[in-house]
Amino acid sequence: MNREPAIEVKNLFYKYPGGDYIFRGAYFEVLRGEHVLVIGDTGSGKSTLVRILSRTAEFIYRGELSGEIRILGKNIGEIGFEELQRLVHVIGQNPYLYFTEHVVRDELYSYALKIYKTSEKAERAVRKVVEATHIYNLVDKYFYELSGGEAKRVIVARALIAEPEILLFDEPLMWLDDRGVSDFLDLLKLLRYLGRTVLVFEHRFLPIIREFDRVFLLKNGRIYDVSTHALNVLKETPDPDNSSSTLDSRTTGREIVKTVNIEHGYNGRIVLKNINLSIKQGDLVLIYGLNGTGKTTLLKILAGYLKPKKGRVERKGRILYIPQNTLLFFTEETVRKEIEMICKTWKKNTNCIEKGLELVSKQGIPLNRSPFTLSHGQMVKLAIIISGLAGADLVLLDEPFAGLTYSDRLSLLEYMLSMRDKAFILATSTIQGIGRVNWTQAYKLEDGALYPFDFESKTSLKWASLVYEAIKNGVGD
Amino acid sequence: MASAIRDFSYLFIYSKKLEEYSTLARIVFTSTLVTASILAARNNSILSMLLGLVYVVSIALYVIASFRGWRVLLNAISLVGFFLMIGSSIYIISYFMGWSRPTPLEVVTGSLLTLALFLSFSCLFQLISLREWRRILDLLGLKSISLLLSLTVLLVPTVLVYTSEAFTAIKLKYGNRGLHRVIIPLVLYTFFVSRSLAESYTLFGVMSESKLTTWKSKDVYLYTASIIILLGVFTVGLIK
Repeated sequence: MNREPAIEVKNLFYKYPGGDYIFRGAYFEVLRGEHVLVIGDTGSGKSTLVRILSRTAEFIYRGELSGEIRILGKNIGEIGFEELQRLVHVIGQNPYLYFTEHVVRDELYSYALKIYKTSEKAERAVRKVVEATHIYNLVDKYFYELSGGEAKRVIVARALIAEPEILLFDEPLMWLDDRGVSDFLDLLKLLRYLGRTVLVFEHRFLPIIREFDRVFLLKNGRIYDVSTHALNVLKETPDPDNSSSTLDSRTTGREIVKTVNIEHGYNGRIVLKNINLSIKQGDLVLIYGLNGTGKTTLLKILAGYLKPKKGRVERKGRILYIPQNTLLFFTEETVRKEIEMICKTWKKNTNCIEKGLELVSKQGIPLNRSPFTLSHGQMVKLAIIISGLAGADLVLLDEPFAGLTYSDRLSLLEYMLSMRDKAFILATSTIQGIGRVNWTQAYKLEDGALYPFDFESKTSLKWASLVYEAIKNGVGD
Repeated sequence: MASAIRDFSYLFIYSKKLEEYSTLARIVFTSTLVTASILAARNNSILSMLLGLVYVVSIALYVIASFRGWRVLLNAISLVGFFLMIGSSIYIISYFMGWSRPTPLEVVTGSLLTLALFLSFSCLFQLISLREWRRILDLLGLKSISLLLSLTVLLVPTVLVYTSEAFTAIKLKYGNRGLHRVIIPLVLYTFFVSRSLAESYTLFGVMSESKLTTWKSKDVYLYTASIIILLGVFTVGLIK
């Protein structure tokens, strides 16, 4: 491995306009060809660091930046934008925003043509990346037909076309299902073989942590190298809950929703078949399925937004739906107004507002802040509180864990478990950390049908959360 | 509804089946469709206007269906039908309120004109790719318009999908009476998306343009169809 530095950052300070400093004198260095994992709480500055290294923090977000940043030995300010685009490639959180063509093949070809100028070279480059990233089945699809994970794979493939020296992955596992995680691990191996420098900023780090040369932690505006500490924590932290997993057999209440032989599909393709569910008060139901298996479709049928092609849905209570993009759930300018509005809409008494404000405060959510600027975890919790105030009997959550740390996931699940008078259905594409939770029903959605979910050998979320907290608490206080 | 939204968005997306025709022939054909819609609407008598518009709409429907399939087309039309219903509602309200109102024939003709123009304009995006548009607009010296157009057309499907998500969530949250609030998260989301897109374009730059072609052997069919469309509209225009 060439040991020259690829990225050098010294005494970094950065703040967004009108905000507090995100970085307060941060130092780090990444060597050429090195693979580094960067972890940290929501809001600790992971995405900001990506923006700083790609210079969008200065030019798009117009923040205040000071300190020294060198890319491959050159001061970042002296590198032209076009050159920087070739040297450093960012694979962002929301892959759909990175498409500039409708069809995947056009997207890849168009970018390759921009880089290589001739159609022959461009076509060759496209063939190479399609082969390397195994996306043969995706190339003729429209980008908005792709699941989140598929879209991410395409964007990674596109990044490889330019053969950049440095790749920055901002939460690459967000929206990736477990198959996608395995594909990402293969991709890391490919990038190591190609000698690329890689920085991965990720919450859900346990499935990938061992593949990295070093681990950095972002905390209190600084960057710490926690490589040895993290591996020791992984080895030494015992699983607090190593009992064998079974479903929670607590008695559940009245039935809220029942589906009878539901069948649904698009364009002649069957997405769901023979779906029979009975959801009762107190239920905590898991629906696990890879990307594109029909989880969202099933939730929308239960919510009454889609009508099944066959079968019937019997609803005996109020249902609320919290979309994957949680921002779309909110309508008011502050958290306080959200609470007031929901109580007013459903004509609840004044206790409703008081209770709502108390619940929100208890969860550490600032009352006068805009719900649109909360972290994802806070948004989901607020949406659940609002659902409760609206008198929802059943809350449907689409991928609520995406972008959450293990501790945030655990806290979210514990919160749901504390609300015994409601029922929750969680649709997720990741197994990591969902074992040994008190699910009352758990299914795997595969080939359109629901099957009982096998919990054996699934990671305990409590353990994952303990590992993360131990890594975090080991430095910087 | 969700599949109708998806199919509606297809009406703004280039169909790859058309690559066997040259850019020029496709531009001529779509321009002919738009011109024919306008010409039909300018016919002197209501009857000839009606017949002209029915003729143009039928051809536009046939063209779209041949590239997208009838099922997708009919689904998309159902959303267009929603807008036509608004026209009819205005007529009914005018009737009850005693305002001056169009005749039923004028309502039908007006609705047909909306449909004809909508379908013809959608062909501009279905028959000509974004990369070709970028090249054409750049040749005309309209670089920033070319970027705006790309962004707008690219965002149509995504925005429609998020609209559908927001409708589901807000309708259940506030009931039908609070549905108007859906506009707030959508506007804010658009703001966030715009910033992310600016970031994306800063990182990756604007994509390449396409070469424009002026002749391919199959162009004969499109030129013949263009002549038939115009002849048809002129002929119908002669009806008193």
